[in-house]
Amino acid sequence: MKKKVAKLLETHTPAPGYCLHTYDAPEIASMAEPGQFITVRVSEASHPILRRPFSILSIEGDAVRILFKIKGEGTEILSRAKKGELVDIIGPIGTPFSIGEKPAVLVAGGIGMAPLFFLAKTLKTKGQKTAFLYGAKTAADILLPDEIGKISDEFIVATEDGSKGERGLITERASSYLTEERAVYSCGPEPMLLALRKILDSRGLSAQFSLENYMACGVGACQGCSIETTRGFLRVCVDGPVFSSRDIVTIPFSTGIGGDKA
Amino acid sequence: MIDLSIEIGSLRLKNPVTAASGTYGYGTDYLSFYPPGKLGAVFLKGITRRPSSGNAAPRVMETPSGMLNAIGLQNVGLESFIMEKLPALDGIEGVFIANIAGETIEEASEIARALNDAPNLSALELNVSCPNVRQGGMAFGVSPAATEEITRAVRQSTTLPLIVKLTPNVTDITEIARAAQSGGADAVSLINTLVGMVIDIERRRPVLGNLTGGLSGPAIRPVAVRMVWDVYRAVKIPVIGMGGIRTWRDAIEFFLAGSTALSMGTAVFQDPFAPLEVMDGVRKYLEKCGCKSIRDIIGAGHE
Repeated sequence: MKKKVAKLLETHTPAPGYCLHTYDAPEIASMAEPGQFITVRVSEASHPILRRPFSILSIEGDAVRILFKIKGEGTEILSRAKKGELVDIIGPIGTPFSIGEKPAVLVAGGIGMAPLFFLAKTLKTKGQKTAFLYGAKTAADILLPDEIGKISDEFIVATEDGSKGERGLITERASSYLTEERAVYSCGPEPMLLALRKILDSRGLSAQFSLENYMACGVGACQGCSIETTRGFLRVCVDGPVFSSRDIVTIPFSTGIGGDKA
Repeated sequence: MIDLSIEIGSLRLKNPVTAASGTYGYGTDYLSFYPPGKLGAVFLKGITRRPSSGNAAPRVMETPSGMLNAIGLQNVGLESFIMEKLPALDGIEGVFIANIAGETIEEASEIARALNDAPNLSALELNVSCPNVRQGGMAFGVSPAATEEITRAVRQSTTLPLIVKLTPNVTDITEIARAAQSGGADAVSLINTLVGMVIDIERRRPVLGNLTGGLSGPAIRPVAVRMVWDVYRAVKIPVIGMGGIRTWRDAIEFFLAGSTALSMGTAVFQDPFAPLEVMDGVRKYLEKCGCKSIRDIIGAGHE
């Protein structure tokens, strides 16, 4: 984990209400693994005082990309940062996804897509088969579909209003993919993760879930983001954010890392 | 060359900027940024006799120029602290101070005794001010008599320098500070967090799992400066000031009010390097005003 003042190489609006940042951060880029995140200082002043955690969307050479939904004061400020500005980032942080040999199924809900995008890209370079299942509220919330199409072998979309892909919840489509033969990874809202876990549990399977929580230090020091697990209270920031679906007792929040609740 | 060193009882710190308990883990979480030896001291995470799992999530919430926390003293417990956390500091340069919290006076004394010969510790901070636990914690620190009694018992159980950390959630903090002094404390540290609450208006419920939490950050700084000012006048022992210190200017206020040393916490979350920048700024301030030592400005606001 390193703290760097990184140049914002590109800021992009993939859809209204969302923002994609590309930072020049070679050292962080060289260390990052799928599932890890960075924290960004959003203000030089005393407010908002806490850094914001964001899953790493991907590493492109020396650059680190994040994708976030603008939903609070911190993400609002960050979304206004201009190309060329210097941004204070710390990363990579956290325990990454553990990648095995099995073909993968990635189940993404909303902005929870971000860490799974990095995972899919990594799996692609390893030559592993990937099914990318992506659910969101409407077509406008399905981000980077063209890029996802290129890094997955199967790409399935479901929207709650049916405006893109199938109408309904992605968990309904995911059910047939949840088998012993596949490695399952997921990130998304709490109801989605709970529904997935119910199916997994009934089949004696487990998945790797990427979680988020409010964080204060984001380096493991303050215990502010701890959640209850079967192994006791564990810190989402460094013990996670990736946890086995079997270990989780409570899921604190409703989006993957990339949220901003303040 | 400016002399930044200060003394707290028999404890000598090479500089007065420290990390507050609860914000710096067990001393190793910030190692990838800089060695803890750069700080005057690190107050380690508060520990209890037995391991504690702390409060339900959510435990932290941002507020205007600050944050609320209700960790609830989640910690590994005395035995793991001695067997695992303190040995993990072997070979790491730095002054480490244990923060201890007992549910009873006997328990606090027992922890103090157990830590007397523990490795890598330079002092004890007695926590009579945690607002987020049901037993112990602030229950002692709101009563002068209880504060004096627990301080005396812990004083008799340790030969380490003893600092008593005070809560601001009282009518008159100077009474509590005097009680800690009477009980044998070598110093008092203040302020711990102010009890607060944030309500989620959609759910119509308090946000924190514990309902209330402790407010920290720049929002509380003027309250902390005032309390340091008052306590400095009320006791003879050194005051370790804290509460919303983020920049060197904030730090200077605390020294002028009477702090011998100071602690930072929430600002370190925003920028892990903030304490080093504060130290640098304080040094430059002293140079500019022709001071030779940090001791020249401690309490200078009262002159």
